[in-house]
Amino acid sequence: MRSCATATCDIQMKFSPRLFALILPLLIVIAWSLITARGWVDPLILPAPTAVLSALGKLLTTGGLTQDLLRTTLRVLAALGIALAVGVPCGLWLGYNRRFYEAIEGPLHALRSLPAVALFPLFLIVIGVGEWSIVALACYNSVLVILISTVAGASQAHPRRLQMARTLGLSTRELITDVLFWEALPSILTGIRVAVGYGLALVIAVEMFIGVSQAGLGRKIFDYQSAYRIPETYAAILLTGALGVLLNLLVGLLEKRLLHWLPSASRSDNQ
Amino acid sequence: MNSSAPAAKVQHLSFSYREGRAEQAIALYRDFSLSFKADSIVAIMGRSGSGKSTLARTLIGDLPVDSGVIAWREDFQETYHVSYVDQSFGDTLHWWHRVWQNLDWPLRKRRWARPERAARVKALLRAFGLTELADSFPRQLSGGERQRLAVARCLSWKPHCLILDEALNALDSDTKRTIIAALRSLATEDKMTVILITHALADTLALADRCVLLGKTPVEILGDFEISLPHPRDENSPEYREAQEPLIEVLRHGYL
Repeated sequence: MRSCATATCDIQMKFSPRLFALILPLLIVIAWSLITARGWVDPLILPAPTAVLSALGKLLTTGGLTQDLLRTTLRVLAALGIALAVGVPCGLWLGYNRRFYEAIEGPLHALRSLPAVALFPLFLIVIGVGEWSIVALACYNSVLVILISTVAGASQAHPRRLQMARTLGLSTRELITDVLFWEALPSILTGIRVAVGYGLALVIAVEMFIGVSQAGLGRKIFDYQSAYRIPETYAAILLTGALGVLLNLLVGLLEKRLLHWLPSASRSDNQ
Repeated sequence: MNSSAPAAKVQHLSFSYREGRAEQAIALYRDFSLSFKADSIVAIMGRSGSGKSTLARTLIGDLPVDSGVIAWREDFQETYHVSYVDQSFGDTLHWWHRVWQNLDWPLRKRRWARPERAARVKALLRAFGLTELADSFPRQLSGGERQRLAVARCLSWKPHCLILDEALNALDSDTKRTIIAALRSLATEDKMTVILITHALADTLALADRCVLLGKTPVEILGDFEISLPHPRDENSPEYREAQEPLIEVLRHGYL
């Protein structure tokens, strides 16, 4: 344990970082209550926290949002699943065949820089108005993110480790599954973290565009807003935010579980 | 196949490298020949830049030669029969495997049967003093323990030849003692040919059956000594002192 002399250090010792992390949200809620209580802002723009919370409670207990929450979550996870199934094997292969990757790197980065939402009308024509259009669009971005981070991880494989694998006479397939996959795993998980964020944002945005099956948090936010049910709008937004935080926490747990062997020097402690 | 034939023969080797802006070709080896007896430990000594490592890397086919032949005996010709290790051997470890899995993986890849794998892993753990750490991950080991594991790993699958290219340089004395004792006993047990590239006289005297001193450009063999001392070797015995005399004599002439 380090010894600390300064006052800030003392505070850090007394409060755990977890407790510290609660301070900012608490301040926001206090400010929010103050603003609405004093009537500084029209309640149509910003309703009181209590109104939002009671709307949220009502929506959750009556099951008004459960279906949407489930639908949005499944869409994000489906997009992530497809992205992993495509991006990881392709990324590992490209990481192994660097020369081939370098040839297609430019176009790949160009595709990634293209805002996915801009492609949505095209997806509607190609895939049609439906569940798959939403998933495909969220996928589009996630596949590229995961592919590129997998390649980056696989290319960092230590030449000595690969040399030993070759000395042992491993086939290319074994080299990829036994060595490159593990070398790339930390990078793949970083990719998953980014892809989940993108995926959720895209699913919500697309749900707002089209009224497919009328379900989804994005759709609900849009509907409540159109009907001027402002506390419900805020409640749905809060729920979406909570879903994002939850997904991020799950990725964090996954990282801890899958990367416990990683030397701390090369671990990114960003949770 | 004649089992008394040399494990490897370097015949009429020529190798040059290009240096400086003018890309001037410098002949490091010109018509150089040397053979390595099987089942013995040969130390190749020479000052840095004397071409020891170049020799090691041409032996494994890592460097293309200008002319000459590197001939491995029939039973050494598969790539997995010659294990090459340099100073960065710690980087070959699989961080995602436990200590015992690190030793087991090469055996699995070489399609060893399960009971033989278990026995071999156990023996290696014992020889390198890692038995208690079998279930740890490499990140939990100290630097010396990691080096012990890395050496154990590169000879785990019983390669016929182990080339240690300055691999023992950065070890602390305790680690080195363990590794040298383990290397010596495993080399004898597994009938392993070891080529030890080093500039440390102490390592040569602790391990080698023969010492070849390289120097000058193009490279010449400045000395070729048999070191026929029993193991483990005692630094204070008169035989040891007698054996190191001629080596020190050559070193004293400024060749190292």
